[in-house]
Amino acid sequence: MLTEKIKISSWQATALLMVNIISTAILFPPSFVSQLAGRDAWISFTLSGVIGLSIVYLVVLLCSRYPGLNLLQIGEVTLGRFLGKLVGFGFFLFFIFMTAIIVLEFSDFMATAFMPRTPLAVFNILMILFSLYAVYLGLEVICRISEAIIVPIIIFLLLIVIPLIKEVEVSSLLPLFEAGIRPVLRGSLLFSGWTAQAFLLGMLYPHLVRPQQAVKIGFYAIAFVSFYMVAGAVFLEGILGSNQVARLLYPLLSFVRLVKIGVFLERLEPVVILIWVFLQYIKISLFIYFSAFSIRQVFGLADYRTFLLPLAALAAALSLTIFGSAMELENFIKNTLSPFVLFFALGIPLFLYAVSILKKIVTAG
Amino acid sequence: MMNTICKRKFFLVIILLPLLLLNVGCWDREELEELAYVMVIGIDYLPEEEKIEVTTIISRPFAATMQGEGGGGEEAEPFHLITTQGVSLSTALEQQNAFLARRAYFGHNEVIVVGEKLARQGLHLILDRIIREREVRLGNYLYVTVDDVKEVLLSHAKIEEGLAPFLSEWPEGAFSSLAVDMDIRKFTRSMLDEGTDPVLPLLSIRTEAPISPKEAELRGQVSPEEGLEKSLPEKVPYPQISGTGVFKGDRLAGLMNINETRGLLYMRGEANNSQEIIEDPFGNPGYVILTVLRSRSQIIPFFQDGLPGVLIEVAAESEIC
Repeated sequence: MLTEKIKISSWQATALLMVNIISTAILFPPSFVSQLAGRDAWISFTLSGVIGLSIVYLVVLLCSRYPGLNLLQIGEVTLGRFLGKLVGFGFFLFFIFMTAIIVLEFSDFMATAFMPRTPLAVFNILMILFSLYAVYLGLEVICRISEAIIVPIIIFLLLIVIPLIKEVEVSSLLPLFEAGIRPVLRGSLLFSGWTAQAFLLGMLYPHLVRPQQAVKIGFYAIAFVSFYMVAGAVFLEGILGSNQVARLLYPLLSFVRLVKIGVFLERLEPVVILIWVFLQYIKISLFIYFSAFSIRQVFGLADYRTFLLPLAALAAALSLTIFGSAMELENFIKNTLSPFVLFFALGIPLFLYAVSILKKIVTAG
Repeated sequence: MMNTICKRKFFLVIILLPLLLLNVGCWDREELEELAYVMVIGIDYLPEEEKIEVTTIISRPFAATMQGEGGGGEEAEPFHLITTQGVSLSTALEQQNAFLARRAYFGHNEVIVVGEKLARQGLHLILDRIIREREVRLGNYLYVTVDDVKEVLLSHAKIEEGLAPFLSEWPEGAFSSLAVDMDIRKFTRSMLDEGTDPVLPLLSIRTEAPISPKEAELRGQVSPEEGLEKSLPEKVPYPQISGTGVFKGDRLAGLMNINETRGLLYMRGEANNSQEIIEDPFGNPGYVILTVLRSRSQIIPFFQDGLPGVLIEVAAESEIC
């Protein structure tokens, strides 16, 4: 009942999608895409932006046929009760697994880069506990915190980039497509695991104040993310060189640590990392929210908060057990994450859309 | 209504309580006075034992403040040197704990000096370990030296307080016309990228008395009859920049002196502040001296008679002085 009252402005939805994608995109992708695409990483990021945009377009096309319904409800309407619930349960699994993966990415980052002696469980459990509060307050609150954080992100992006502009060797971006187009495509496929997460627009769609702006929302969010990543790739290539980027685990962190403003202002990374942690906090909250939301949908509960604590415990337990080591996590993100996300972000909406078109033809004919 | 507000507050308190844990930094808390701040790392290779030798300069902040207060007693150096050996850089650094009650902290390290033997053996022995170290920054300056690394680290810098500020301020300082400035980032980049090989500024020591003989005489510290050598203060080693070490991949391949380095700097388009002497263009006796303000270079490869060649075009903007 509560969810029907949620109203999200277009700007809030844009900020939420931006934060949702950027928060984990700044960790592994710069290095992994560089490993595949070399100095053409920025082209890969652009292409994945295009993939993300087409997913946004598809999801909006699907949702606009069923006004007032989100992706899960559309599933129930088009596929019938049983299959619809099955799809809904699939989405629940997707969200809970993604929560666990994101939480682990966060704690792995903290442990590898700053606090090696702290057990991962501490990061995981604390982060999930904090996120629970935001989830408890609801989607609107999560939207509003992402709205608040997006301006500092842009300011600090400029702040860390400007002092290093004169060090960038733009000529090192040439030649383009040195190894052909295949590595570039593989890189863009890897990163489309992130841009595809803009399909969450399909979950937000019924709550939008102006649903007719949905495509615009998705476009701005994807454009911002792609711009951020392309700018990051150009700077990393121009300053560190793609060979070095590919060998670093968190190249953007190394990049931030290089920044010196004048001779007196250096070691800025705590400020930047503070913002990154905040971004990840929002993303974790959002995914816990959606896992709670989808389980409410599947079992027809009155309130999504009913299963919040068990879900949080499940996410915390999963985040500690699904991967045996940081290497396994990296391997998963490198090879499996993108198909995994694309299946739910592209595959299922495409299937639902096809079914709804077929249904229309059948009923008309 | 009341009930939900109470519930929320209870929830909030439950969630905020673990936040207190974060204030103490969990397992990774660090106390400022429990760290040993490494200022300079010197690394060399011992070919007979096949071991890495590490020398670190560790700051002693207490010594510095005691001197400031005129603390009396023995006058302590504000730095402390530790030399250890090990099969790899990690094991050598681990050995340093035998001499330290504190944890060595590399976050403030700004300079790494590499010995010639290690450079000839290849920097791959240490570079990976340094880049993966979470405290060392990629902006640390790298130097190569043909002298003994320990002696270089023991040398006193003029004007600056110690070797660390000398070596870390030198690249940003006035005379970049004498050598290239190189940090880990630039070095690794030109090592890994195709078509480029890295260079490092060459460091050497020169032993001389802190005051020149002439100056000592003027000050009246020595009378001419006594003879200069006898009463002059003891000779002390000083670090100086004396050229460039040229690498092939990660191995030192050769050395350049200051004049050759000047040519290299023109090729790299980095010859700023360089003084150029040309004959008077109007035919008058004497010279004109130019200070290069900024220079640019362009490398144009070509084929002539089936042989590859390179044309380097240098454009410089200078000031007559």
